[in-house]
Amino acid sequence: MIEALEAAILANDSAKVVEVLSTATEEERAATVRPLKAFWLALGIDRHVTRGVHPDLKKDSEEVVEKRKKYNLADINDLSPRYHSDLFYVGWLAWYGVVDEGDNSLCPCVPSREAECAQIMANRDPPWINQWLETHFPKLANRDAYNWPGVFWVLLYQRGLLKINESFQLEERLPKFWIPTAYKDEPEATQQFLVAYPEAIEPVYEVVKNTMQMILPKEWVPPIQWMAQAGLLDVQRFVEVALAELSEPHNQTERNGCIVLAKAALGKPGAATKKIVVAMQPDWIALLADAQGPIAGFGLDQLLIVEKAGKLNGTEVVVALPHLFNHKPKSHARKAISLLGRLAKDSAIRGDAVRGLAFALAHPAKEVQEDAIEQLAVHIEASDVDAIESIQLHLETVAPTLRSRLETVVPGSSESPMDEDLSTFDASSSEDLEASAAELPPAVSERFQVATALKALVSGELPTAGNWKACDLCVLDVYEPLQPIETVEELVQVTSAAVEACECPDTPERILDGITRLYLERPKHFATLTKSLKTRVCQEIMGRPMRGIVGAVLSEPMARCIGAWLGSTGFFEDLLKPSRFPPGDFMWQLADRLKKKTAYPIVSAPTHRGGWIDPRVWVKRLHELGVSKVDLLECDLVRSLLRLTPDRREEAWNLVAEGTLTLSPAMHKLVRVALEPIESTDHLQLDDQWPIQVWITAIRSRDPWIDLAKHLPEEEMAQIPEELWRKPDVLKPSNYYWRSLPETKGPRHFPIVDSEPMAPADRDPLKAEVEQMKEELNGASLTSPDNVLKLIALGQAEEKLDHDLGFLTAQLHGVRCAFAPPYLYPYLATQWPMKLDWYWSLASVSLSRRVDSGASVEERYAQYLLPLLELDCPMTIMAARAMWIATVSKDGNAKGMAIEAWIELSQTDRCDVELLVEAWGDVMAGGWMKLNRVAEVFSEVSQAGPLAAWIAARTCARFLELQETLPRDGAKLLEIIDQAYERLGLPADEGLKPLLESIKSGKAKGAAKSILCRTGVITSQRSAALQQLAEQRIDRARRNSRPILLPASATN
Amino acid sequence: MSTKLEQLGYQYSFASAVCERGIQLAACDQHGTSRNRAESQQAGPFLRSQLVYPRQTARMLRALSRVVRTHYFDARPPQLDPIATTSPSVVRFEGFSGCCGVYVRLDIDREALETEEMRWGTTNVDFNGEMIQHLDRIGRDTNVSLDISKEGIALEHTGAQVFEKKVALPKRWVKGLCEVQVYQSKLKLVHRFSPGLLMPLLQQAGSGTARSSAGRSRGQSNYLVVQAGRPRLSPRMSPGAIPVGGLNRLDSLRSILPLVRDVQLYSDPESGVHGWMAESESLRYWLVVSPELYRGFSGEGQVLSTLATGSWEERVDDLEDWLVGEQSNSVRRPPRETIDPAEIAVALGWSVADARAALAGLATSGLAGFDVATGYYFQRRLPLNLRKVETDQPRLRGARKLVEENAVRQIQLPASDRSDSQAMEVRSGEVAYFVRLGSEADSCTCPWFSRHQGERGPCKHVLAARIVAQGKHQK
Repeated sequence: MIEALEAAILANDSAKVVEVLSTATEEERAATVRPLKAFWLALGIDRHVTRGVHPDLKKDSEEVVEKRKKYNLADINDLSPRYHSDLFYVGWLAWYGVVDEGDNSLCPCVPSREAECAQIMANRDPPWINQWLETHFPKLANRDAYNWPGVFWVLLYQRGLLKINESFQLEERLPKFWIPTAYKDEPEATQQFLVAYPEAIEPVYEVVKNTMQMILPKEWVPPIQWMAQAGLLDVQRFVEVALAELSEPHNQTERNGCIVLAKAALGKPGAATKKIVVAMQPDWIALLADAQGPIAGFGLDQLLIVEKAGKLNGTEVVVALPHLFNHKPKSHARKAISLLGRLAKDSAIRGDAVRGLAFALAHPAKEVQEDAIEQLAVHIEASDVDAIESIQLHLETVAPTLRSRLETVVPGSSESPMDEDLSTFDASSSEDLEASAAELPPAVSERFQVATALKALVSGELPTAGNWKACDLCVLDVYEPLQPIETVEELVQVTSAAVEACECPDTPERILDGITRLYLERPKHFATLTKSLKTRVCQEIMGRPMRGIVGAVLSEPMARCIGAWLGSTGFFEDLLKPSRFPPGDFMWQLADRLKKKTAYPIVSAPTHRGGWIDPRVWVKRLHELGVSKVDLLECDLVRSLLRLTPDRREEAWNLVAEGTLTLSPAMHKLVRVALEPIESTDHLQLDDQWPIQVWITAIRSRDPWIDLAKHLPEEEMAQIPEELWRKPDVLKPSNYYWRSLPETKGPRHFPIVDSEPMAPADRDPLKAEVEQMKEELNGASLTSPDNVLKLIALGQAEEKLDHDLGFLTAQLHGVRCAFAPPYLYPYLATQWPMKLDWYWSLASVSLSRRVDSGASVEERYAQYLLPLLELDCPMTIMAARAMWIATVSKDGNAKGMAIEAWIELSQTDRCDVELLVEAWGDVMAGGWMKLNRVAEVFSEVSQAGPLAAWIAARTCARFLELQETLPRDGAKLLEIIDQAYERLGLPADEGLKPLLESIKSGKAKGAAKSILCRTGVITSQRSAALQQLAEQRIDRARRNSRPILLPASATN
Repeated sequence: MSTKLEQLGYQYSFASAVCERGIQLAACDQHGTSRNRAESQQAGPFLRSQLVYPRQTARMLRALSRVVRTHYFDARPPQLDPIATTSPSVVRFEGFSGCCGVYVRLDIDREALETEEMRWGTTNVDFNGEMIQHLDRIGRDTNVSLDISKEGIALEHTGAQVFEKKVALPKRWVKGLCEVQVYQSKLKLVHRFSPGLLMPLLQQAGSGTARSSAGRSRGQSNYLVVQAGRPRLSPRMSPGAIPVGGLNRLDSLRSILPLVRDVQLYSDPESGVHGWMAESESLRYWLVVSPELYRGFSGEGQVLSTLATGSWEERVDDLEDWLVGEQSNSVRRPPRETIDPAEIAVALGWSVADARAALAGLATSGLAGFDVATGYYFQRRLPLNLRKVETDQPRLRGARKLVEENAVRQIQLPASDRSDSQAMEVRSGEVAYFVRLGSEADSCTCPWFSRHQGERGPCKHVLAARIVAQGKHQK
């Protein structure tokens, strides 16, 4: 027998073990114990099971060595490939079948081999079985049901070994909640056991009182369903207990669990169940007002059964049903409307039913509103004054396409309060708008497309969008100036607050400005004033407050600056220098100056919100530093150049040119490049008075989009190293290569957005090599020496590729930012506020990482969209891509911010539909964009006003025009179009008609037909939208009409 | 309650005794002062009534109990104790959410009750499962009687009765009651919404994915804006936007929307506290919500400066007399239903500021609440020892300790500092903090002040400095 057992174990065959043991006598089993232990030791598996038997046998015993030799076994401690956990359990199973009562006391059965153990025991029927059972059958109540082998015991009962007599005290011996696990594996045996011993069912009534069971109710559903059907469970008692628990302070999951269990007990409606359901009618009515939708819905489902039984208490139900409409899901709301319709046939409660139907109009789902209107049409009467009043109140919430139908039901209801609002829209008349437009400079008027907006007032068409860049804006008239910190005490207070929590992106720069201006001031009480701040800042990062300026991405350099200002010593060595994070690099250098007491009031401190510097203040700063003969930090100068506002440069230059402010010759030359009003940049020349990095930045300061290949003389170009032409925003402007990539399935998460600052043709050839090396290494084992060498080579190549040659404009493209406090994302935008494409690229990549994740406190990428909320911030293709990703994000923060951005952009006339649709297509190409999320966002956006609704609908329409077939969830986009076009009186777009006509069935059919049937009528809402748009354009043109003397290339 | 909570020690003014009327329990004393013995010895409940709108009242009480049973940002055992206060014209049920970030109150006007008499009285009970089940089952045609007495609250309908016994009042609630009235007094009506308009907003605020955008996360602000006549949530402050942090805490409001005519929004943009009032026939359901999800009213400190430095203690006795109807000439008049600080000032010859300070002292013990709808304070009658007020305020206790330890030292400011403020060094443990006491605002360099910038009241260092500066300590 031993050889057969050994073969079965080595084959990992539990069934074979059972078969081998099935006919064995007690003597044969006893004789097998010692050789089996020797085999066990030869295998080298966990010995705790066999420890007490034949203790003389050791790993190196002769019998063991022989076994090892015979089967060519290696100890698992020698990492034998033969070993796996199943081997242990199969071995234990064999052991279980041969040892006697005393040696089989570790467990009643082998874990995960309960059925086999029961079979072995049944086949064996040992003489010591009763005594063994008495020892092993559990004696303590409330034991952990998951570790109690219920399957084993019910099988033992089924095979006739477990006999429970009256003295057995079954209830005390069973754990409370053992049934689900046993029922799952051995339903038949469990059923037989429960039928024989129904007292084992008693704890089931306590399941709904146990929070651990309530959060996992699904395991209980099959046994409860069976017990109810078999008549073993007192269904009414069980359901009453479950409903009573709803009144206890449980959380939502636990309460849902109660309902799942009650549902299981009630099962499918049958004669017996129906009686119980009818008897519990007051409970179901009470559930209708529950705060949880699924629970209220469950109550309704039961009431529908009561209704079928003809026992419905309509008087109470009719007033409780409207609570169902508080919940967003529409299926139960529609059932409730249907029931209200039936109840309305009873004249005694018709009025209440009509009131309930009127309240249903507040439900956001159009289908629910539609059903309610249908029922109202049948049941409402002129005498229902309060219901009619209620309908008037809810008109604002009714879908536009349903309002005409409602009009037929309730006369006068199509004039919603919103329409009234619009009819009294406080706007200038068309003539006034034209007069205002006439005062604008023609170039400005053309840039912002003012004339097309005025024409649209007559034509009723959505005009083409204006075309402007940040360099066309009069920033200083719009962005508020920043208040400089004036005293040391104020600096301490502002810094202390920012160390604890920082929300404003301008605060870090205000603090740096304050420190560099005031760091030499040491009032008498300085130590007291700064002690607390020093304690909090000058320590390891883990001890610092996490939500402030010294707690995350900028933490180390900022802590270094503050520490240097406060005169701290000792903690600087522990700080890590930031890598490839330009603001951090700057702060690091600044801290060095502070430590050496050679810092000076920085020139790159913003004067206005958003990181902007007033050029007049800038030249004044340069003048003062020149007078003081300060050794200017090059990185400070470069930063300041990128922050200069486009406006007031001429005034600033005049201060220098006219000699009001004196500068060194070199600085004068540099300032001239950045500020002087010139007609053309064709004669730009670089010289060696400044490093090329500074020159180039000065040029980019005045024209971020300039392509120097078109402006530099040939001889200059010849001297420039090739690699400089490959860096983004150095000699050539970045020209993004942006792709949405398909999602990959599997454990590894690959990026779904690839954004490169340079198009392939302009890219460094090394980039392609790096990509190739990455491809080769993808999934390769890193234990191979060849691959390790390849990995090293890849690292070196990437380092070479990432070498930015000290150009800040190029460095910004390499910024990576994650797990940062919320202020930090918009802070990044302050580095080069005039050209934000690098920022939007970063935003799109970051946002794509959370597109299918819930909201996160740690990764608040939604903050990236904040610059779009600025009044005149231009919409670019890169910004639009980021916004689309936020729009389809599951992350609630991103989605909320996207809604806000869409509304703001629509209301302020910054939506270029063509550009938006192009970006939509780009994002859609990856295949992961969910259009139902677009529809959800646009539905909310449309509520903000007719212009927002128009933009949303027009964008959807243009997008669909470009699709060959209706994409998945396209019906929801058609619904957006249909509702908006109804409000605006717009006909179907010609380009969209073919697609609409091709829709012959499905959910989209209704909306498609509705759109196709529309005729064009300029409604008051359309007029209001056009008027709002025209006003916005004129206002924008007026705000930005100050002459900005940047070269023409910047505005092309 | 399943958790051990810090309870407020009641101090009764006389011992329980057997008298002509039977057993007179100390705990049943209405006011705890001998001068009101006659009033307090009136037998029977404060209220014995039939509900005129049983279904509406029951649903709103159920909504109130839902708030009281919920901890909105953490899974902690809730408290279940609404306080019920009756006055001759209104019954008020009040409570706080488990996190103390939501104050909820249901005002039931006399018109909503069939009753012969309503008397002054306050009690607080747990609303347990049985009471909840009873409330849930009350329908429109149910005859419901509601009785409130010092012993507890009895609710009877269709022959079934449930009685909730009076329980001890949690200390956090008394602190919450004290703070919330300060915020309430600053609330202004900003919008009225029809239930239908509000429903999508509340559905959005309550849904799982939108909770984050409803300000669920720490430090995340949210604003309510009304655009094209509709309210919506916005993540940013814009002109006209109302700060509404943690809007998911309005779930109980959603459950009563079908019962109400309109919902009013009250706001104090400065503090970020917002209040919502849903009104039905003679019933008003109030929710006052703290600025952020993790901020509970009990942890605020708006009245601490007053308590630390005001002379309210001297005036509280006179104020109590006045409130219960006793005047200095021993002429009795009915107790005041509403309390106007200006009226107190005139009647008792104080300044309005002193009257407010005395009222704040009273409110600190939960003895006065504020009704935003009327703009006046109202009385609660709890048998509490007003002298214990300070010991229940940790920051104030800490400040007193600092003063006792001589940890506060005045700093001589340089001549160049021309402000009319004082500077103090307050040493606490190893660290010295710089405190500036200004005419408009105080500041401190401690982490707590840095974090909250005085929004949650002064820190203990500022309080200690104030006490020293105003000579309110024993030298």
